Amino acid sequence: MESIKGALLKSAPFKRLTEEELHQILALCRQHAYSEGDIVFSEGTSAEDLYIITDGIIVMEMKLAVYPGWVQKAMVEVLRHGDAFGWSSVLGSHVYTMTAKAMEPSKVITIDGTYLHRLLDQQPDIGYKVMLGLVEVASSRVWGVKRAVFA
Amino acid sequence: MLKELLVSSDLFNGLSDASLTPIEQMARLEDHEKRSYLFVEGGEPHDLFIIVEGKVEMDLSLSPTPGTGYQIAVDTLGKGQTCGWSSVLESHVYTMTAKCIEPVKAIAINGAQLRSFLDQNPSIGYRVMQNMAWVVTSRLRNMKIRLPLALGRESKPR
Repeated sequence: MESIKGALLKSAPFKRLTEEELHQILALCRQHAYSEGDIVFSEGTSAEDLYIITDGIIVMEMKLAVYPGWVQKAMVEVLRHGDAFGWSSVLGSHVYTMTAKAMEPSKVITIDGTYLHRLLDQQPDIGYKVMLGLVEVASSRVWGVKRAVFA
Repeated sequence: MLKELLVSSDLFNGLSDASLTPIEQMARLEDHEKRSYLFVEGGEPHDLFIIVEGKVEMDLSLSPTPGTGYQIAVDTLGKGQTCGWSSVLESHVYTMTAKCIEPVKAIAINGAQLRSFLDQNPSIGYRVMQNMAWVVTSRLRNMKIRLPLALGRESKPR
């Protein structure tokens, strides 16, 4: 439980929460383990869960149309302990915009996006802090996409 | 008048009249000439902008040093659209350059002042952040489509 709490407190979406608020999030958390090379989710599929890394390394990849008819996969971000991914489960179109792949044996916290959204709607104090953090994560991907394209 | 413009924007739509009053008091209407910049990539973020009239092109620098070298247009914004969200997120730099490709009328709001207001009013903040999430994710989607293609066919010195 402490490793889950530690990862949440380090993550952008949940770092601003009070102890009491964090307990409500903890009730939604599950844990999953992935082996090296496993796909956590694929770009273009229905976005259901938000993820926080507790151990290991997850890379975010995206298909880029380099030229019409020529699509190339590019690495956008390398994520570690406390990093959040899968924000499409809570924000926007609910379709994953990137593919998440385990680079080494990894453990992650998963939170059902529908349940989380319901909690945020019911408690705007929590909602504001979490949504602000998720927007920060999404905004930071702008740099990641730029790096990927210009690499 | 500013309130009507704010409520029809992508960032503040859905807010009540009472919620918009303090935001209206932070807002100022500005005129910007064609070919001027609302802000430059890599610059220290101060203001958030909502376009009232005209078109703004969002450019990314091809150089590793933000805001320098060749620029690529990744999005074009018009009436009611928002740019400069970095000023509200307390980021260190603007992530893109916002260039007026027509004479532009825009509402400018100090990002730190707006952030402080949202921190103190989380119910309003939650709504605004939900809207901002749409703005950021749609910008990312457009960028993902336009950036690689633009890189292949067009780049221009600033």
